Amino acid sequence: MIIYEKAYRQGEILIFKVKKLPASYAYNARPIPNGVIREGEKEGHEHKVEGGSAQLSLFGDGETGTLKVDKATTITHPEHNSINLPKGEYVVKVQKEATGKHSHSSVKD
Amino acid sequence: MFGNRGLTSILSGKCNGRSIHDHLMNGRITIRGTDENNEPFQRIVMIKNGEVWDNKLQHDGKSVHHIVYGAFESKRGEKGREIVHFKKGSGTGRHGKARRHEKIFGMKGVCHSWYKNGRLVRQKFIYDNKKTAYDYNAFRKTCTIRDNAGKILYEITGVLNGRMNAYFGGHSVFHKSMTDWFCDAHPFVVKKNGVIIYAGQIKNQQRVGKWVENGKIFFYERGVAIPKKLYETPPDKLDPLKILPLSNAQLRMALMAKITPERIAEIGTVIHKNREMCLYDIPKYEVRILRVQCPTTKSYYFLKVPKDSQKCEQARQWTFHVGVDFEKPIKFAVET
Repeated sequence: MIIYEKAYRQGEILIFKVKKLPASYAYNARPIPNGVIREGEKEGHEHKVEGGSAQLSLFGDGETGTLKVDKATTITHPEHNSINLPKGEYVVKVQKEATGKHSHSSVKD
Repeated sequence: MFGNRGLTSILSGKCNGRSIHDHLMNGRITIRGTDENNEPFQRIVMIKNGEVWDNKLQHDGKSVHHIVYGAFESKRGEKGREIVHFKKGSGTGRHGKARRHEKIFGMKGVCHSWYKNGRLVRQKFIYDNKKTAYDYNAFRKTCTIRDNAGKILYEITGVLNGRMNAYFGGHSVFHKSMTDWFCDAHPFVVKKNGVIIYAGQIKNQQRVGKWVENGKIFFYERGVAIPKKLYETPPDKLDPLKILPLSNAQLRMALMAKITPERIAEIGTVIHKNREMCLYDIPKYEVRILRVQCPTTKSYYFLKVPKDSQKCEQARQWTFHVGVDFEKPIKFAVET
């Protein structure tokens, strides 16, 4: 279970400020230098970390990740208002939806 | 003797009871003296082409009031330099005009801009060889852009995006890339050699309707590109049962908006309603449909949630991984 201090949402992207990242999140994480959390399927609808100083890592199928912010940064998207994130550690998740009786996938934008 | 603008002559003295004016087209005047409180001051005025370009008042060598043509007026306050806004409180309102030397389409010239309440109402660009590049008027909404030889480059129709222009001191709107030339909400067209090369409309930060880009035609519904056939299909001919299974939530939203969201009520029953949220059950579907509203664009999205969902908020929390990664319902500090 994740215990968060503050939660943010930009469309289908959920961001949770945590005191300490779960230990299991350190494995198999792949750094994302361009800061793109998720690319939209249509017309470049990408959620992106811009400005400040932050390290984004995603793992698995890219639906969970971590964000370490050293200097306040901003999450941008062409259709949503930007979200300012202060210094800290964050868990990034993608909103999910059901695909069948016992199956689900992330929301595709 | 002079105001903020328009110093074109100086009073040189009197001779036989008549004033003598010397017209100053370019130069600098420095006036030193004492004010009504007997405090020494210095005012430095720069003039270019017969207009006051820079007007600075100094006390003890420090600037206390400064007006520069094409920029904000500033004064020295208790906390240091302050910008004097032309419209109190808003910080963005601004009347006046700006002039800026710059290049457009690789050719040098002077850009003249007129603003009212921070909006660009007119912009004229004159090349260094005195040929006019364009003279845009916000009320006409059309203009022709020419090169410095007088040849037509583009013919445009639309409202130019001059709102941010005021902050940057009168840049030409055409100094930016073509995608940033126009304002939201108004349709625009750019023609080159009589052929439309760029046209469209943006509403709520989303592309809508017919677009032309690089000569190719696209059709958009709420920011989503859709095939021409689908775009031209009358809404009553579209079947919500075929739209809801689509995997892309944005496309689902766009097509449901086209057929009006209420049409879902024809194929399903309402299980629960909570303000803008609505939970539907559709016979023969393995999932239930939750209608939610985007706080930014106000568009309705239709999310698939488990069949056993009973309440809107419970279903919404399920989409946030509550019950798996989170124990308690999530309250967002910011939702956009």
